[in-house]
Amino acid sequence: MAPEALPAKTHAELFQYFHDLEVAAEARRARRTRRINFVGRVLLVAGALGGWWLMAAFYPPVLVPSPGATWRAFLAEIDTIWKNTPPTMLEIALGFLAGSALGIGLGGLIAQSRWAEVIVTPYLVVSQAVPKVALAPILIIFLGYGMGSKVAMAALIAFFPLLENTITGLRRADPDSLRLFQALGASPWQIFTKLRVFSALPLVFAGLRIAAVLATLGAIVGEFVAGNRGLGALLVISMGTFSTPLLYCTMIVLTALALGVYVLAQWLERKALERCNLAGPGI
Amino acid sequence: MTAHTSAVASDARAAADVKAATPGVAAAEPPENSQAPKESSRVVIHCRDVHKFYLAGEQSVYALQDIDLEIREREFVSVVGKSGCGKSTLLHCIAGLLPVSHGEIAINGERVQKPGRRDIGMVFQTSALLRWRTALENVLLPAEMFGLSRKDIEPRVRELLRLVDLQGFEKQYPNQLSGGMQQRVAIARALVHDPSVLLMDEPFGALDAHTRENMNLELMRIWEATPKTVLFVTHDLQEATFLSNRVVVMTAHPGTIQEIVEVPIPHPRTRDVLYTREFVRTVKHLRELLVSQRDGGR
Repeated sequence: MAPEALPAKTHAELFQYFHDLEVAAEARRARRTRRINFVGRVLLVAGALGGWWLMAAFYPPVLVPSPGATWRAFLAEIDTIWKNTPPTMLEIALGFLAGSALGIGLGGLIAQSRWAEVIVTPYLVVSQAVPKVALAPILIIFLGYGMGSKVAMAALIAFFPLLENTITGLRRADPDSLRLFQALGASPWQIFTKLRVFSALPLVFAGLRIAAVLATLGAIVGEFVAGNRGLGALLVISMGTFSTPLLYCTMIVLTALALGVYVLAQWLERKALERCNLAGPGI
Repeated sequence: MTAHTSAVASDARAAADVKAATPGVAAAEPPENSQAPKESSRVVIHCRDVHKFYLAGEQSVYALQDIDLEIREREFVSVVGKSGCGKSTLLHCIAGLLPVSHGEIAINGERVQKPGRRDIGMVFQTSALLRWRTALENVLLPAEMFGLSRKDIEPRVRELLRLVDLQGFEKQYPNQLSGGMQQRVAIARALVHDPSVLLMDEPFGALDAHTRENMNLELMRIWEATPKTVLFVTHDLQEATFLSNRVVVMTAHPGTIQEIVEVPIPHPRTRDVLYTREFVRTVKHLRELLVSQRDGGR
């Protein structure tokens, strides 16, 4: 069977013909992808809400409140939630800042000396294994029931990923670049400031992103164990009084808070890496 | 034929420009007439009875055994051999990046004990460019290490980028440049502090064949314009023959010098050299030397 005749003859006409054909096909594919993504995501949310609503129909409200009951509780208790949000946010922010500053600082210090790294490494592994949440009671006994112990908890839990990422990042400079610096007689400090710091940036920022979320976790755990203020404390109180709808509301607010912190860290990461031309694949 | 002569003329002009811009390059003879340096010129790189032995995990490697090598001023010498023959090790020892186990290496009459000499420029297999710096800032790096002021050196950097045919790319980042362009930035960076010795460790090994051939022509043009003493490690025999005045053939395990082959081809060298009888004969001779080596099973 002979193929269909082409609708054009000259190179320019053929070029235009195939160009239009491909552009139209591309647009169709893009529309289709957008539609599928949108429908899929809406369906997923609808499914989750439906599942929640179904559970609520089977269980009494004190075990599983319906989405509607949760929304009503949110409107009724908005003052309580609003009042308890700032302390938690402050703990997250302070804990994140302190933990990451310590992690980056100590990581940078340890990476200054090969000996320090060798000596410290096994203890770092042990410290990774310590369930950080289990340290909350110890911190509270030491620092008291105030905000300090919660900030310390958030800082502690945010500290470790940054310490590890900073050390790993500072270690992983490109071998030929390292040889070049040596061949130029660079001092360790020059190698650090002109090569290692930049090589470490992507991992440090990945660590910051993780630390942001972990700081949220740390603050809540602190409030769980010893809190009369903050969203974590509100969770415990709602549990104690079987105010399940309020429990659900608080949970959702906390998720939104953690998401906000994560998005902020991600934005910072993108800006910083773009500025140093470190975004995207390597050379 | 016209194209050929005009290329030569522009080379000569480029050479004159660069000499004017870089008073550090004292040219005793016009570079367009430069032949393989004669016995009268000074020995720049001197390896005497060099041995290098090291442990790599479970294996002990006799990387260099009894290496005696003299490289004279403004000579272009290549080192070829099978992989693992110690040619890169030799280069790293000469740069002072690795200590030798025995023997002595001297550059410009001064014993090499540690890296960081100002009379050496290095080019590696990867461009080793810092991707957070522009092409211009990358070329400035050695100047920063040697404490030269940016203001004084920047005109020279721009001149070098012009020499490697990258005018207008000063503000581009490495990932915006092709592999060949990246390697040309690396060559400019190796020349910025005006070293008398250029050490090149398979600089075009990662490039495709076509780019590689162009880079060879480019390097020859640059060398003819600013003649340095060059030690060039490669496993490509055509590349070695095209570029060099002498080719050092090494055997592996242990790494020894099997033979040093003179390349009887005058300068300037252009693409036409590739079809000459001398070129083909030299490549054939080098290949036969490598084939004659007992296969170490590696």
